[in-house]
Parts: sequence; C-alpha cells; structure tokens
Amino acid sequence: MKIKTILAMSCAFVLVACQQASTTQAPERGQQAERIANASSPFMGERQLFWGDTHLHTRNSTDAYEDGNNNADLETAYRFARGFPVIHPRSGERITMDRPLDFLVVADHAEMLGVLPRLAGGDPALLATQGGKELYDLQRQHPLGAYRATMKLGPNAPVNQIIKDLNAPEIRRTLWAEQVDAAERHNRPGVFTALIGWEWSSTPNGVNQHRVVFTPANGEVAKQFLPLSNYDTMRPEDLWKYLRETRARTGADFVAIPHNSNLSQGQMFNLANTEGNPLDAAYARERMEWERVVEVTQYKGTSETHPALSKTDEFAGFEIRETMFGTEPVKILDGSYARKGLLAGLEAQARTGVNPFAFGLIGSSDSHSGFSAQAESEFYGKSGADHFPPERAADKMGPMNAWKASAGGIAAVWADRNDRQSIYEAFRRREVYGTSGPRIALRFFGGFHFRAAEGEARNLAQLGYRKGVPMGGELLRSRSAQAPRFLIQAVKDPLGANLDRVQVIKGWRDAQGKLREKIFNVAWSGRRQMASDGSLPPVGNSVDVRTARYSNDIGDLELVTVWSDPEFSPDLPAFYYVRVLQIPTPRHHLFDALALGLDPSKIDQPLTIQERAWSSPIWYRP
Amino acid sequence: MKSCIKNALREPLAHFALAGLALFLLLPQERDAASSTIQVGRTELTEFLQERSLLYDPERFAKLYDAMSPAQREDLLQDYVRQEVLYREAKSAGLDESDSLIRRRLIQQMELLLRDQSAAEIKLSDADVEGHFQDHRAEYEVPATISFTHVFFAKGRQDADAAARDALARLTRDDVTATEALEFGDRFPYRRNYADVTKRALAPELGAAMSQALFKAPVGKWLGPIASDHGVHLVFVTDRDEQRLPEFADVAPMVREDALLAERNRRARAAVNARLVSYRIVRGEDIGSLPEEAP
Repeated sequence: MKIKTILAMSCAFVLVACQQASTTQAPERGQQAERIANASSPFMGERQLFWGDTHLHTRNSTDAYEDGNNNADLETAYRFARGFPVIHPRSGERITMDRPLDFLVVADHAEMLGVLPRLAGGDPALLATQGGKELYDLQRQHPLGAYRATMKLGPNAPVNQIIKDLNAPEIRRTLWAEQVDAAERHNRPGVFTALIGWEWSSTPNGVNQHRVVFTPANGEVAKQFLPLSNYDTMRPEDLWKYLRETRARTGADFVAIPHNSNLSQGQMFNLANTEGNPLDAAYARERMEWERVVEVTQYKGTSETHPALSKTDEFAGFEIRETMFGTEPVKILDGSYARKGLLAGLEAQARTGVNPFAFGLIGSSDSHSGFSAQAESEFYGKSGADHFPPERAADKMGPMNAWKASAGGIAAVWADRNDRQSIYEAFRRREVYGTSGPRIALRFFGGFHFRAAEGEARNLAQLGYRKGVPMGGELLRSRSAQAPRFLIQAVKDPLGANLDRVQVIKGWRDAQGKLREKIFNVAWSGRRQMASDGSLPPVGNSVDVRTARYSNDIGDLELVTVWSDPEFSPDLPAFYYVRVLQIPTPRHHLFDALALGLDPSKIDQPLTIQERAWSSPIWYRP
Repeated sequence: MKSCIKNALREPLAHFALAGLALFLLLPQERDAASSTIQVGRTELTEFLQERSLLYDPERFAKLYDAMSPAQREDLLQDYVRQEVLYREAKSAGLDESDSLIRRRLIQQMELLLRDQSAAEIKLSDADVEGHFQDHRAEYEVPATISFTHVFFAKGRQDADAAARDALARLTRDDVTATEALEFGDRFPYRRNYADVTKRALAPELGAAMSQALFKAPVGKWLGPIASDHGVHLVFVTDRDEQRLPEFADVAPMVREDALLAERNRRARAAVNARLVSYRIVRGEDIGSLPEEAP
C-alpha cells in the first residue's frame, strides 16, 4: 500500500505539473475507461502524435487543372487522405493510402481558385462575364493559354480582363464556399481534422515567396473572408496585415507557412524587407505572429541546407532541387535554406532584440495530384500528368519531372487533441516537426535537470514535460549557467525502416559575432565506435537494387539519449534541432526503373535514400 | 440574358457542342499533319520550352530562348523536330486510332465531361440521401475498435516472463489503475495507451497475433502475459466497440456526396444512352446467341 501511495502522489505531481492535464486525481475505473476510450482526450498529460499534410492541391488549383482531368477533385482528395479507397481520375485504378492522415489542409492556389473546372463544366455565372468568355475561348484556342492568362507575373504587372472579371468578390465567394464546405463535410473532431486554408502564391518575377495559410476557424467564420491572392499583393508584409485585419474583423486565427525557400533565390530568410531595408523589431514581431513554422521538405525538394553552405554536414545533400520552376538554376544563397535562416534569426536578434526567424519545421507534400502520397514505393507523381512510370522516367514534365521530385513530406504534430484548435495551438507552440515521409516518432525536450538514466525511464514524456520544454520551446539562462540537457527519443515508423542515428544540429552566434553551425552524432544503432572527430562509420546498406527491397537487419527500432552540449557557452545565443536518419531504403525512381525493365546501374541518380525527420528547434537565450 | 444562356445550356444540342468543344481542347493540337513541312521558328520553340517545363511565362522563356547558345538552340530544334515528326508519323500510321490507351482516355474524358455537365443542376432531398444510406449500408460500417493500456516487459530481459507474472499479481491485487500502471514495467517504444484503435492500426506496432488476441480479450481486468514482437505485455482492456453501422446523422454529409456522385453517374449513363438512340447497331451473324429480348 505504501508503494501505491507514493505512486499516486507522484502521479498527482506529474498531473499538476503538466498544464494540459485536466484532473489531479487518479480517475476511477469508470472514468478511466471513458478517458482512454475518448481518443480526443490527452492521457496523463502526454500529448499525442498526429500526422498530416498542410499543403495539398486539388484540380481546383489552376496549375493542377491545366492538364485536364488528371487530378483529383476535393471530395476524392479528402477521401484518400481519410483512408478511403478512391478512383484515380487519370488511370481509373483504385488507390488507397497505406494509413490515413490525421489532418489535412487543402491549400489550393487562391488565384482563380476553382475557376477552370467550373468553366470546363460550362458554369453560366462564369460564362456570363466578359473575362469568363475570354478564358473559355483561350482554352479552346490553346490548352496552355488559359493558365497563362490567369497569371500575374510581377508585383506591378497590370491585370487583364480575365482576372478583373473572374476575381470579382461575388464569383470568388461561391468558389471559396466550395472549399470551405468540403472541409466542413470532412472535419471529424477526434478522428480527422480538415483545416480550412489556401495558398497565397506570391512569385514576384519568378522568385518563390509562397505561403500556405490555414485557420482553425469553422466554415461559418471562414465564409466571412476571401483568401488573399497574389493579385492583391505580392508583399509578405501585406499578407500579415491582411491576416491581422481579418482576425480583428472575424475572430479567425491564422497560421502562415512559408515553403520552398529553396526556390526563393535567397529572399525567404533575407535580413531585409520587401523594400530592401534592414529588418527591425516591429517586422520581426509581426512575422513571428504569423509565420512560426516553415515547411522544410516537400515534393519540390528539401530546404534544410545545401552541401555548399554546410560543408561539414555529410548528410546535407538530401533531395536538393537544382532548378527553379523552369530550367533556371537556383542560386545557392543563405536566405534560401532553413538552417541559415535560423542562424540569420540569431543575427537579427543581436541587432534588434527580436528574432524574426524563430521558426519550427514541418514537412508537407505540395502534391498537385490531389493525393497526399507519402511512400517511396507508392508515388503517384507531382501531378496526375506524370502518373504512369514511363512518363515519370521520361522528361515529360521537364524540370518538374517526377524522378527529380521527392516522394514525400509530412507534418507531425504533438497536440492535446485531434481537432482544429489543438492543431492550431501546436503550430503556435512550434511543437511540430517534419519528415520526408516515414512516420518516425520523435520526442525532443530541453532542460537543465535531465539525468542520463532518464533516457531509460518508462514515463519519458512525462519527465520531458515536467523537467523541460518540448521542441519549439525556449530555454533561458539557468541560475548556475549550466549547459542545457536534451532528452531525445526517436522510434522508427512501425511500417518502415530502422533508424541509423540521431543528430543534434547546433547553430550559434559566437563571441565575435560569427554565425556557426555544428552537427553532433548523439545516438546511433549497433556497436559503431565514434571517431575522435565525432564522426561515425556508415550504418551500411541493405537495399537490393535488383528487387528494390531492404531488410531491417541493420539499424535500431528505437534510439534514446540524454545529451548535453559539450561546447556550451552560457553567454552565446544558440538553437538546437534534431535530425533522425533512417537506414538507406530504395528511392521511388528505383521502383519505376525496375518496373520498366531499366538497368538501375545506368541511372545517374542515387538509387537509395536516407529518409529523415527534422525536429523544430529549442532555442537557448542567454 | 442570363436565363437565355441557362436555357440554351439545357439544350442537348448545346451539350453536344460543348462536349465537342471540350474534347477539342483536351486533345493534342494537330499541327498540319498532312504536309511534310515542319514550320518552326522562335514562337514554336519558346512554346515548346514552356510545354516541356509546364511553366507558362512567355516573357521569361523568350529571354531564356534569346540567351541560348547556337548549339543549345540547335539541340532544342532537334528535340522539337523529333517530337513533331514522331507525332505526325504516329498520326498518319493511325496509332491514335488503334491505340487502346488513347481510346480509353478519350472515352474517359467524354464520360467526365458528361458527368460534369449534368452535375450542376442536381438537387437531392434529405429523403433521397437517407435512401442512399439505406441502400448502401455495408459501405458505411465502422470497423471494430478497442481501447486499452498495457505494461510492457522487453524481450531482451531474461526474467521478462517472471517479472510480468509478478507484476500481474500486484496489478490485480492492488486494483491498479491505468494511470498508476505507467510506473510498472519497461518503456515501450510505441504507445502505452491506445484509444479507439482498429485492428489494422494496431498490427504494425504490436504484431498481428497480439492484435488478434486483444480483440478477443475480456474487458475490465488485467490479463496476460501476451507476447508481441517486442516482448510480453500485461493488458487492461477498458472498452471495445464491435463493428457497427453508424447513425445516419453522423455520416449524412458524406452520404450526400456519395448520393450526388451516384446520381451524377446515373445521369451520365443516361446521357450516353440518349446518344445511343442515334446509332444503329448492326449485330453480326457470328455474334453467337443472345438473350431472347435484347435490351
């Protein structure tokens, strides 16, 4: 009985300490059953892990519709994400996701949202306008003409009659309502969360400034505004202004998520505003109000860092995209990659006192097929136009060719419940992370009092919340100026490959004001010995390239550690984030190559991939 | 004016014209296939560039084109010409007519078109929707789910079985709750508590055998040890929901979509049937036996 009392007391302590726990008593059996049975309730103050895609396009996006009925409509897109079997609109085959998503943002481009499918169906309201007729005729003259005519290329480019007429509020309201209604129809609190959102596709003169925007608000509220588009503005500062005004007017909160910084030619994390002036504290505060999370990986490549920018990072060359939307090469600049962006944030903070780039990290697909496919072995292409393996292998899509694209990008969220508000709050807390597709479970806590043995604790997450901050959090200088300690647990995707290693990536601003980065191997599989320079021998490679199979004979199911920064200086601002690497597995084009009877050794792309997870950082502020 | 267009759009003839139009848009543009001349200039090549990259930005591609070296331009020209020649040769060989893929694609596009056209006007009553639900009940069955907590003993441990039996005795004797049970056993890499999970979701984490066993286990008591892929477990099942039909109200919005789709498909079929009327079908002598009353 004594043990029981102590246990009960310690449990009570845990519950009091965890702000998300709702009771302080161990519940009675009946209540307990109810609590566990209710999937939406947090258990023992442990947040639950939910998986989702915040960046999915359907054929209601103009660029996804340009090639006809290749891509799924809203209903099909939602059903697929929820795990229902659906018919692929191009091939006619039945496809099913291996596991449903827990949440989804259909982020169709706001520009001409939903117009082309309606026009093809002969929508009378659209055809009643001059611009609608023009667009219809353009489609008839040249299939490519329609999409082209809906684009505004530069911030000051004039808009044509088509945009003038079809961007009219009364037309947009109907089309926006269609997006909102679909989300309302599929939103199932506790089971599947459909967040209402869109993509603001600002591309001034070909430079990517895109943001996905979502709101936790319900449909009734969402119908009180219209999504901001690049016809309205191409300045991110204007987007934030719009979000602030819309929140004040309607009560809707928003999250804006920059993506493809790799295609921004150094502009996404540039230390200057749109007009080229240095960032000040006001800019930083406003940006941090809305853009607390960045999409670091997706079909159009990974934006963590570039081998030329992180020369000591042996794993930096991961799914790097080399060309812009067309054939123009990307410029390898600091402002294009998240790690350098996080470092630039420390620089700005030193100058102005506020960090404009204190962002967390997620992945998402940016699929234009309507299908949020996440598995290398079941990739349906960037859009339905490269659905069939011969098309993916050929250069049908040019620089958007599927073999060059990545086959995944997914967002992981530690939330109290699976509903709109809880997921929104997790994004605000930055208690989110991203992977290149596999569902690797990753816990990451920072604090000053974790003990080495706590890596073995059975209630690891409780300890993490009780004695530290989760990913996305901040650590302030401790009274005794100790080095922070990090409690890290990574567990492999239950349906996927084993893990190779866990790394901590540290970025800091040194005493001379120089921005520095270093990669630490902190946990790894097998009996490998770390060399004196901190490096590890490779985990090996179990992939048979003749069959596109691998085995889990190498790597570990779980990697856990308590790690402390051996080079810590209490006076220097720093951030730490975790990167988890899987053992090598076959990359998606190897499956195509084998199916097509091609010789894999003649393909000039790596046949295997070390998929990975990136945590949101934990910041240290002296 | 508006209603005039609306009325016009209701005309089957208008449908047909629209369908033809859309078909025309969706088909590759024919480039003077009869002649053996290939006219190619800056316009064709900049368009070709854009087509290839699926990015339509005339200004930028014009610049790109003008900046190309003569050798690059020659490569582009060769690519264009090769594709154009292949396209024309394929057309003149009648490959577009004999290729079943192209045929299927055309059929599918026509079907989609007919479906899209007939979709806009459909209005379904609540009774229609509920009727659809009643007719398709099996499609809306919710799979069985289970909620439980467990205490885990890792495979690597020598005394895993003995430790599990000891713990089971204490869990039962002291009537330990799920909350307190977190203090027992080893850390489990996946979840300690599972709420409303299906067998399919459980199997990857605990293995098929243990998942099977759990769905048959009695509710409301500690039991085990049960072996999984990772070790042995003591389990307390708090709740189990058998496979069931949901309340109509809970799935009504989705059923409405399904009913709409079904109705859309029905009308598309009807539209095809309406077209059938204008065709005379001649049944060959060698067709074999058919039912007495052909439909």
